[in-house]
Amino acid sequence: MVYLLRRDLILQKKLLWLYIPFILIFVFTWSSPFLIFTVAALYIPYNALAYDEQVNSDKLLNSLPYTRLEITLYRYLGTLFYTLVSVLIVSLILILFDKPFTLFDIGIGVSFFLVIASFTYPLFQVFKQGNITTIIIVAFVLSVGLLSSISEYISGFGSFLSGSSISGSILFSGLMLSVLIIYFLSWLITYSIYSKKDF
Amino acid sequence: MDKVIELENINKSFSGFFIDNLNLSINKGYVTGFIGANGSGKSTTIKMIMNLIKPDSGNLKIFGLNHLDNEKEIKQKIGFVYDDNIYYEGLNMRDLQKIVAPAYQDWDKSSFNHYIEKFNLPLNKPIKNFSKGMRMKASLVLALSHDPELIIMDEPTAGLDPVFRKDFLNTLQEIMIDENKSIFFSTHITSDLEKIADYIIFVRDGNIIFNHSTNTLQNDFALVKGDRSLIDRDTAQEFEYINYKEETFEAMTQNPQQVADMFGDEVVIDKISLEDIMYFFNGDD
Repeated sequence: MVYLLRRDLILQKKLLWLYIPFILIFVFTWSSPFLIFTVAALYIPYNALAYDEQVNSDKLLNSLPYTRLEITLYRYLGTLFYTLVSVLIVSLILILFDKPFTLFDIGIGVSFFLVIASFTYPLFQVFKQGNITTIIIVAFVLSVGLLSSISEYISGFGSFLSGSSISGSILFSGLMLSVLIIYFLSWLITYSIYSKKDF
Repeated sequence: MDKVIELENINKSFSGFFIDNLNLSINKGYVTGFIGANGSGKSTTIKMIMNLIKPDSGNLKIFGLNHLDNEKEIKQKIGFVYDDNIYYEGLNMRDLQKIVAPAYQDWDKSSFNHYIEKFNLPLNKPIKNFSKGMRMKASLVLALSHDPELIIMDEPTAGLDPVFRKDFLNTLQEIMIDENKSIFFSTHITSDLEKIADYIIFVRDGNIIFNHSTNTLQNDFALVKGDRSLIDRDTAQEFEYINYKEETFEAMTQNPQQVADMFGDEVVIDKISLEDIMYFFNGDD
């Protein structure tokens, strides 16, 4: 499994140089930190999908000694791993540039990304090769557009939570748990499609 | 004789094409060629063996093991080469090794370097700049560096020039010095099979027409030519397929001795090429 993680890094070694500048653009253009966590989390997993689209990588992966369960599990666990890495990198950048953010920003940002991934990953199995890049671009533009339009409400909700009597940590945990359940269900759907697919 | 691949009663249907009750066995320790026209089911069969396509029903065993229950163990011992490029175009051989090698327990870096040198392949050049022949060699390097017991190839020599093809076939012959190795490959180029195949399987419309050793094909099949007037309802029984050309006929027989006894000097009995065998079997619609 770890080797499959390395595969993504080897594939993207040139694009990885652009990762920090990519995050910096959002740091200096947007005020809502949770948006930065979302777009930073998108970068590696969706670039990997775009690379996979260029060749018939399913034919390669399924010819190597990996099972279909492992391949789909990797995609989902790998995404969680890279999300964690992106959270660390963005947090470090925000601290370095003295931009304030809260745990709530991380939670909302990561949740948004995982929900986007939960909906798009099964779609990649349904749509034919050649459409994936389009789906990625549409998903990205839609999610960024949606996020920026509701960012003020989200920030307001965050302030409300911090000032309200409802336990913020319970709400936060509930949100994360719901997102992880959606993410797990998404994997089940993806695996059930992938396990029957012909390559 | 030990079997390395066994397909029993395999069924698979697609829209417009189906494989009906396919039975096939490949002997261990030999080179088996898989021939048939385009769309005859060669690639589908290979993909089912590699578990890229799921059969609708039937049993599939590789190394005597069920191909689904023992998928990882089986694929550890298989090297594969496909006719289309499945490797990331922007990567060079050094990076591709980093991606492929960790999948195999028995990956041998020195073997990888040996084949890279043997095929004169650059390590740092992206494979998108490789010629068709170089790509095929690159696939072969990645297929052979974990010392597989079974090498499965789908049209490996298609589009290669004769010099590349000869190199490629020589390499396969070197591999087969080890008696534990088996090669199963599909091709259109019958001369390649005549050079290296021990067994030949011919498939048409998803059905196996024959599975014979090359010796059997050369000894048991013959091409017969003679005057058309020699063919009547009785004598036609001696031939598998007959082609009429104006006043003459050309036919394939599986009983050359009986034909010689029956017609004597009136017919010419020649050795038959694999290409002619394919031609005659394809003509039987």
